[in-house]
Amino acid sequence: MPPDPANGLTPNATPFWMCAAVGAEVEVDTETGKVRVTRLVNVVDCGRPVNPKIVETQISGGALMQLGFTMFEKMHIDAGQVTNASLADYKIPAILDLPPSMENEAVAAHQSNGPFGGKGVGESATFCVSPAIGNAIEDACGVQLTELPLDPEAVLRALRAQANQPLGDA
Amino acid sequence: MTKRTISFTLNGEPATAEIEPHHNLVELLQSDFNLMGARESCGQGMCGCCTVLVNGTAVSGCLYLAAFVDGARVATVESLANGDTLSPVQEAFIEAGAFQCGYCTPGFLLMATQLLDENPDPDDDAIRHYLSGNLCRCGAYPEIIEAVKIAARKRKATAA
Repeated sequence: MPPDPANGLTPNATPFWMCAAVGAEVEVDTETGKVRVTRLVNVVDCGRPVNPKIVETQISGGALMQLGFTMFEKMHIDAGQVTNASLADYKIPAILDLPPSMENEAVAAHQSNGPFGGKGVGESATFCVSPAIGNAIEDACGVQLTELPLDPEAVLRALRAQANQPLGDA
Repeated sequence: MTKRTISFTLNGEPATAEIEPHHNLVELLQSDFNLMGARESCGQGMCGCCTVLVNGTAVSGCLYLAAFVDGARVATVESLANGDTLSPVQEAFIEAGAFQCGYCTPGFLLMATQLLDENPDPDDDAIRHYLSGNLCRCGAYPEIIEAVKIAARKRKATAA
C-alpha cells in the first residue's frame, strides 16, 4: 500500500521493527561523578539469527558503541566549527572501557517476512543502553539525567543540585 | 624538495626507496610497496591502525618518518602469514570472530603477536593493558580478548 499522499502515513513504514532490552549495573563515585559500568546485559529480538556468532558480535559491538555515546562521546561546536575533531579530543571506547561483565543474547524469534525468519540486528543493541545506564545511575544515587553524555561533570552537577549545593558555570 | 634514497629490510627482503623528508612510513609502504595492511586512521598515533614493527618494536606508521627506517628491519602485517598459511594469531582472530569491518585488525594482529612473544600466557588484564592503544569502532573487544587467548593456546600447542 503506497503512503497516504495527504500525510505520508503508511502501514509499511518499515519492513520490521527492532526490539531489545538492556540491563546495566553501575558504580557511582559521588565525590567525582565518575560512573563505572560493571555489568551490561544486552538482549535483542533479531528474528532467527542466521549466523549466531556474527549476531552475538553485532550485539556486543552495537552496545559498546552506544556505551561510548552514553558515557563520554560529545562533539563540541564553537561558532559552527567542531573543536574536538580528532581521536585525541573525541574519545571512543577503547578496550579498557569494556565493562568487566557483558552478556549478549538473541531471543528465540521468527520474523515472518524476513529471509530464513531473520531481520536486521545492527542497531538493535544500541537503543536501550543509554536509558538502562541512566536508570541504573538513578537507582544508585537518586539523580535522573536526561541528556547525554553521562560524564562525570553531568553526574556531579546533578548530585550537587540534588544536595542543594549546585555548581556554578565552568 | 630534496629526495633521498633509503635501504632497509622489508618483511625479510632487502628494499630501497626514493623518499622525501616529510613522507611517513605508511605512505612509503602503500605507495612504493603496495602494502595496504598498515593504514592511516587518526594520523595522531591514537588508534593503532597504522602499526608497523621497526626492529621488532611496534611503532605508529603515521607518525614515524620514512627516513627513520633507513638501515632498519621493517615488518608489516603482511609478514605474519607464510604463503597461504595463516599465523596462529590470524587463525585465532578468525575463529573468535574478532572483527567486524576489519579496519583495525592489522594493528591488533601485530600487537597481539608482540604481546604473545613477550608473554606467552597473558591474563585478561595483561591483554587489555597491552591492547589499550588500539581502537576498534565496531567494538569487537570481547572477541579480540578471546582471540588472544585462543592464539596463546595454539602457539603453546605448536611449540610443545
